[in-house]
Amino acid sequence: MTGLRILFGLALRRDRVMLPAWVLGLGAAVLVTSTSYADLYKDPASRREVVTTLGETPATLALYGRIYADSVGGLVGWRLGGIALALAGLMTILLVTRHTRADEETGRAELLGATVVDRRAPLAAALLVATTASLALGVVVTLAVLAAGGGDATASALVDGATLASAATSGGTTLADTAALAAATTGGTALTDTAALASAATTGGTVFADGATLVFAPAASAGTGIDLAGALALGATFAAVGLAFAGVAAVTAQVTDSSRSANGLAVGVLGAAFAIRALGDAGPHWLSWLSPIGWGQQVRALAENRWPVLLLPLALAAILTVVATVLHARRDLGAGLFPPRPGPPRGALATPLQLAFRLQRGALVGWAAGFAILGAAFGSIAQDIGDVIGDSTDVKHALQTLGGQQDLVDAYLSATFGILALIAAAYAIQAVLRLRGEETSGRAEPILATATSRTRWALSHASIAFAGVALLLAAAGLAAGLGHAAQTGDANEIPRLTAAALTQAPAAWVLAALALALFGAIPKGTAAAWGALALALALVELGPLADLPQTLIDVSPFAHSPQLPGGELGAGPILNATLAAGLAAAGLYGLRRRDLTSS
Amino acid sequence: MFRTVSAIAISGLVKTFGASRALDGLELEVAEGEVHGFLGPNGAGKSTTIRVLLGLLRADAGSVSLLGGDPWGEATALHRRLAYVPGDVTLWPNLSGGEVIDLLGRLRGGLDEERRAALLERFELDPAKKGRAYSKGNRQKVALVAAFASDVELLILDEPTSGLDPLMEEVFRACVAEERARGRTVLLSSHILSEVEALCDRVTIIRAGRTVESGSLAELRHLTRITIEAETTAGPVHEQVEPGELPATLQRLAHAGVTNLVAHPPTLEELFLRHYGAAPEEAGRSE
Ligand SMILES: Nc1ncnc2c1ncn2[C@@H]1O[C@H](COP(=O)(O)OP(=O)(O)O)[C@@H](O)[C@H]1O
Ligand SMILES: [Mg+2]
Repeated sequence: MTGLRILFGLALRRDRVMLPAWVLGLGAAVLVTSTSYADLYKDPASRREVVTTLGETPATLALYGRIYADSVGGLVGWRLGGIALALAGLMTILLVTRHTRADEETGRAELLGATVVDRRAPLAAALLVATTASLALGVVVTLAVLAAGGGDATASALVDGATLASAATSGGTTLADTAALAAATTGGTALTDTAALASAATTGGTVFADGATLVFAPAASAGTGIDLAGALALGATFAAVGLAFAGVAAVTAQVTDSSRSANGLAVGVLGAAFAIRALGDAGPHWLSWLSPIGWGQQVRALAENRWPVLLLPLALAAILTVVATVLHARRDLGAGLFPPRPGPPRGALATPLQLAFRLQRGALVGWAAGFAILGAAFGSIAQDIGDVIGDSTDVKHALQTLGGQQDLVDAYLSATFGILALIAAAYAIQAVLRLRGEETSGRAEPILATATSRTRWALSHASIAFAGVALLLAAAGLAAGLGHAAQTGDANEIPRLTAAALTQAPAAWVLAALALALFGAIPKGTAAAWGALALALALVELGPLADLPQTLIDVSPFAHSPQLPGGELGAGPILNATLAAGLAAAGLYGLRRRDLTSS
Repeated sequence: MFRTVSAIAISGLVKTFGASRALDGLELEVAEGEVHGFLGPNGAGKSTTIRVLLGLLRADAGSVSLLGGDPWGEATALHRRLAYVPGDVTLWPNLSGGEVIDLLGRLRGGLDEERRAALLERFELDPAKKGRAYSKGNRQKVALVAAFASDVELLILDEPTSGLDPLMEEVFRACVAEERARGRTVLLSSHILSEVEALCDRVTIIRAGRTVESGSLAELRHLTRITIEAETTAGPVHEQVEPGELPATLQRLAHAGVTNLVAHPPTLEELFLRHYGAAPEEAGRSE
C-alpha cells in the first residue's frame, strides 16, 4: 500500500511519548498488582477466603468477574481480567481515533491525502500502530507477571515445557487425578474445582498440560501458580482485547464526524462490553460471551489458559477492520456516515461561562454518570468486603494503610473515595486543558478580541473543572451511600458517604489548579499536569505497598485527604484548597502577562 | 470629518519570537473614519501587528496606541469599541453559525438585529449549520456577519476575503463601503493589491516586519504600473507601463497586430521585485 510505511513511521514518531507511556504504565500496574498479590495471598487460607466470598458475591462478581483458580496466579489473572483489560481497550481506541478521525478533523489528513498515499493508508497505519501497541503491551504484561512470579515461575515454566510432552501422552484417566491433586495441593473450594474440571474436560490440551505440571512440579504451583504459559496467555489476552477495540475505534471513526464523538462512541462500546460481562459474571453467564472483555476473561489466563477463546477477539478485530475499510471507501474525506444535523439559527449563549459550559457539558454528564455507577458498585459491595477481610490480617493491613485505621468497611470506602478523587483529578485536568485547546486552535482569539478579559475567559473553563470535581465526587458519594444503605438498612449512610466523598475534592483541585498554573506560566508544558497525576497515583496507591518513606508519599496532595468515612477530617482539605487557590492565582497571573499563541 | 485623530498609531514596533524578528520597527498610522489598507506578502507581519493591536501579543519595543488607549493594558475596555475578523476563522464544531454570531455580538455589547438579518441574506449564509459543516469561506462569513452587525467604531479585518468567491467578495466590498459611509474606521489587511485599491483611502505596505510605503493611493500611484501581456503577429509582448503611457502602448500593440491582450496591476511580489531591484529574500516566505 503506497505510503503506508511513511505514515506508520510518522505515527510512531508522533506517539513516541504517548505509546510507551501507555504500555509501560499498564505494565507497571500489572507488575505492582501481581507482586502485591503474590505477597498478600501467600497463605492458601487467605486465598480460600477470597474465593469463597468475593468469588460468590454478586456485586464483586460484577465488578471483578469470576475466579477460576485459587492459586496466586489465578487471583492475579482474575484481578487483571476486568478493569485492566478495559484500559488496554481504551489505549487502542485513543490511538486509532488519533490517527484517523482526528487527523481528518484538523485537515492533516487532507494534506497527506494529496500526496502519493493510498486512500486506505492512513486507516491501515492507524491499525498498525494499534497492533504494535497491543503486541508491546502483551509482551510487557507477560514479563511483568513472570517477574512477580519470581524464580518459582521460571522454574515452573521450564518444567511446564518439559512436561507438556509427557502430559500429552499420559491419557484421559489422569485428568481427574491431577485435578483432584490440584485441589488437594492448593486447597481450592468445591466451586472452582468443578469449574476447572468441567472446562479442562472441554478444552483439552493446554489445560491438561497445566494439570500435569501440578503432578510433576507441585512445588511451583503451590508457590504461585504463575507459569510461563499462564503469563503468555494473559499477555495474549491483553493484546487480543486491545486489537478488538482498535477495530471498534476504526469503525466509529468512519461513522462519526468528529474525534470527540468517535472516541465517545467507542468508549461507549467499551463501557457496554464491560457492563455486559459484569451482568454475565453476576447472573446469566452466557451474557459474558457477548462481550469482548468477557472473552478476555474467559481465556482464564493463569488458571486454565483456554487459548482457543482468543480467536473470538481476534476474529472480531478482523471483521471490524473489514467493515471500517468498506465504510471508509464509501464516504468522503472529512465526512461522517450520517449527514450533520442542523443546529439552532439563533443562539442563547451570552457569556464566556455559558460557552464553556456548553462546550463541556457533554463530557461532564458522561463522567458524572460513570462516577455514579462506580459509586453504586463500590457502595453495594462495601459490606461484603468487610466480611471477606474479617480474618486476613495481611489484607486488612494493606487496606488500612490506604484507607485508615478505622472500621474495615469504612477503610474500604475511604480507600475507594481516594481512588475516585484521583480519577476526578484526571477529569479536572482535561477540563482545564480545554483552555489550551481553545488557544492553539485559534478559537480563543475571537472571544478575547471582545470585551472578555483573559481572567474571565480562563475562569470560565476552570470553574467548570473545579465545580465538576465536586459534582463527580458528590455523585459517587451519593450513589455509594444509596448502595451501602440498601445493604445495611441505615439511611444515614447516604449523607455520611456523600460528605466523605466531597472531602476528597480539594486534593483533586490541587491538580486542576496545577494544570491552570502550567497553562498560564508554561503553556507548552501543560502535559506535565498528567505527569503530576501519574506521580500522585503512584505515590498514594503504590507507595504503601512498596514501603516508600512517608515524607515522599506526603508530596502528593492526595496523601493529605482525610480518611473518611470513619477517620478525622483534619486540616488536609483546607490546606489543599489553599494550595489550589494559590496555584490558580499564579496561573491567572501568568496568563495575563504572556503572549497568546495560535498555531 | 476630523482626519487628525488617529484610531491606530504604531511606531517603532518590534516583536520577536525566539530568534526570529517578526516585526522590526513597524510604523502604522490609521486616521479615524478612514479605510486603511494594510498590505504585505505572506509572513510580512500583518497578523502579528493585528494581534499586538488586540492585546493578544505583547510588544517588545515601540509604542502602540489603539483608539487612544493602550491595547495591552486596557484590552477589555477597548475591545468593546472594535470588532475583529481573524484571517483563519475556526469555529466550535458543534455550535451553529447563528449561535456563534449571537455569542460574539453579545460579548461585544450587542448586535443590530436588522443588520444581522440583512447580512445573512446578502452573504447567503445558513446560520443553522454546525461549525464543522462550514467551508473556509462560510466560516469567514460567520465572523464577517458578526463583525458588520455589531455597533463598533473600528473594524479590524485580517485577510477577510481569502476564502470568499468573487460574488461574495463583491458583497464584502459593498459592506466595507457602507461602513465607511457610516463613519467607521476599518483596518483591512490583505495581500491582494486590487482589493485594497478598490476599498482603501490610504495604504501601508510592509515587508519583513518593516513599513516600506505609506500614504494615499494617489501618492502611491507610481507603484501601480500596469502589466501588459499580449500576443502579436510579431511575437509575445510582456512589459509594465505607467497608466499615462497606456494610450501609446495600446496603439503600438494595435499596429503590431495584437491577437490577445491581458492587462492587470502588478502583483505585490512584482511590485517589491521592482521596488527593491533584487528578489527580496524574505518577502516571499510563507507563514
Ligand atoms: N507565534 C509565533 N511563533 C513564532 N513565529 C511566529 C508566530 N507568529 C508569527 N510568527 C512569524 O512571524 C512572521 C510574521 O507572521 P504573520 O504576522 O502571521 O504574517 P502575515 O500575517 O503578514 O502573513 C512569520 O515569519 C511567522 O512565521
Ligand atoms: Mg496573516
